[in-house]
Amino acid sequence: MNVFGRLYDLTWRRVRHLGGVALLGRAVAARLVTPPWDAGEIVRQVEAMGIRSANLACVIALFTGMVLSLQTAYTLAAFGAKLYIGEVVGLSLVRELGPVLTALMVGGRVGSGITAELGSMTVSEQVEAMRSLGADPLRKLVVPRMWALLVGLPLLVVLADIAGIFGGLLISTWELGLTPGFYFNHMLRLLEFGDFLSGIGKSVFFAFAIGLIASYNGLSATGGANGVGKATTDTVVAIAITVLVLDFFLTKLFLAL
Amino acid sequence: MSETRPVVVEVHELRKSFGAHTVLDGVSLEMLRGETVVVLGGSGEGKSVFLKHVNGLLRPDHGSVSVLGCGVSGLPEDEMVGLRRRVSYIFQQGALFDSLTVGENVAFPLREHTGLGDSEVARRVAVLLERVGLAGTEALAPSELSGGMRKRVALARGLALDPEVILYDEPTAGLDPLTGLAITALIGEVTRTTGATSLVVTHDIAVAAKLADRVAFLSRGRFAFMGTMAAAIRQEGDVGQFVRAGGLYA
Repeated sequence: MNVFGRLYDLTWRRVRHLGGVALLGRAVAARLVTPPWDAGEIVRQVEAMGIRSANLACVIALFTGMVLSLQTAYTLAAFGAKLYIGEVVGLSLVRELGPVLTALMVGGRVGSGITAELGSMTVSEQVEAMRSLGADPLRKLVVPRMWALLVGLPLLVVLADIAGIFGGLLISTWELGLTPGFYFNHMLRLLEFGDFLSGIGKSVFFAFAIGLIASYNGLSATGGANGVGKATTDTVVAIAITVLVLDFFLTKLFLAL
Repeated sequence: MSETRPVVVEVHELRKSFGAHTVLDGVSLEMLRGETVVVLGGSGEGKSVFLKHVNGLLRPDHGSVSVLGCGVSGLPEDEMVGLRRRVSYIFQQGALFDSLTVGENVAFPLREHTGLGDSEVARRVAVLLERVGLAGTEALAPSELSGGMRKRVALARGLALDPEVILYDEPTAGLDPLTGLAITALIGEVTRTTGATSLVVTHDIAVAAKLADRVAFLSRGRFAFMGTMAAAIRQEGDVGQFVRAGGLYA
């Protein structure tokens, strides 16, 4: 096959892939809003995905807040504006770093888990067995995981915001000699409820994207253990790129609102 | 064979390709109620692909499939549920759900399609497991089962809704000869007691010899032969060679 043939083949595969993800997205969205929902399975998935990710999200956000605080203080000191550290840390964490870093972590940890689980079910014909028994695999397997992400990720972002702000507070008080009251007063002077909503809103979109990409790659896995491994790697890469690209457009959207 | 029995499976000029590779190239088959047809053929000839078209797990590129009077090939996925309650598919490796116990696997179709209470479901699961010789295994995980036990559990799950048509995908593949014989005998017993129409794909001649009212030989995407086992043995070429290579008819 010549270069143009390869290029055509690659482009066609990408278009088919995106088409497949879009069709799955439509099918899952329709099932998300129509009963029946398996409440027990949703709770189990929230526990497996959300609660077990909480420690990790908090640790990442705590140290991000601490580093952000140190770097900001260093930069602002050049302009004699070190006192504004609360505003900068608060806004950066709540609007951007909290949702994005948490989504990247959940995308890596939970997204890869979803792909591996659904992928191994697909290659061992369990998904086909479910269809052959007259059950809907999207409703049984994808919808509970998607609900778990839609509920769990925003809650994790709230936790991450709190942990990150606390990390900033630690550095501000220990390293920079500011009082907690001063740090929070400055932060709350600038931070609005809309900033929190913007971060939480982003996390809902991220959750849907993570669930969709992970489920699609799992359900389309082929070729045994090797295929599942490849699908899992593809999921982590695709989620990382999607979260960052989506973040740009969502930021533009929320700033325009 | 009585001609008054209704046709329950009707496959007409079925064609299926994956990319440039044509797997099925105009396959046709009619099965009467209660009949057992065994599809023979070498590995990679498309036997499982053919079987998956019969309950709509795969859609044909061309041709039609009708089961129990229902046009499978044109039916949307969400309208296939009613038909799949009446048509069981027993997968090659069992395809048991890893995350569920044996009992939960067998109970799955009952919970999905009937409004039975927990105690009645448990009672029926116990009866089904006893029927396949696995009484008392409800609490085991699929990973704790041998290959033969997995196939028995899959059969119990497949029988849960009293299907009218049962599709078996390589029921003895990967089993030792004695376990293979036991599974074949179990399928024969199920066919006799339920009166279900059975379509079995296999490359195991012993299965065909024990179960088949008719055998069909799939080769190069088409049925190269269709008839009784006795007629198959007398065939020249690929069909006769394949059957005699099974060792039962030297």
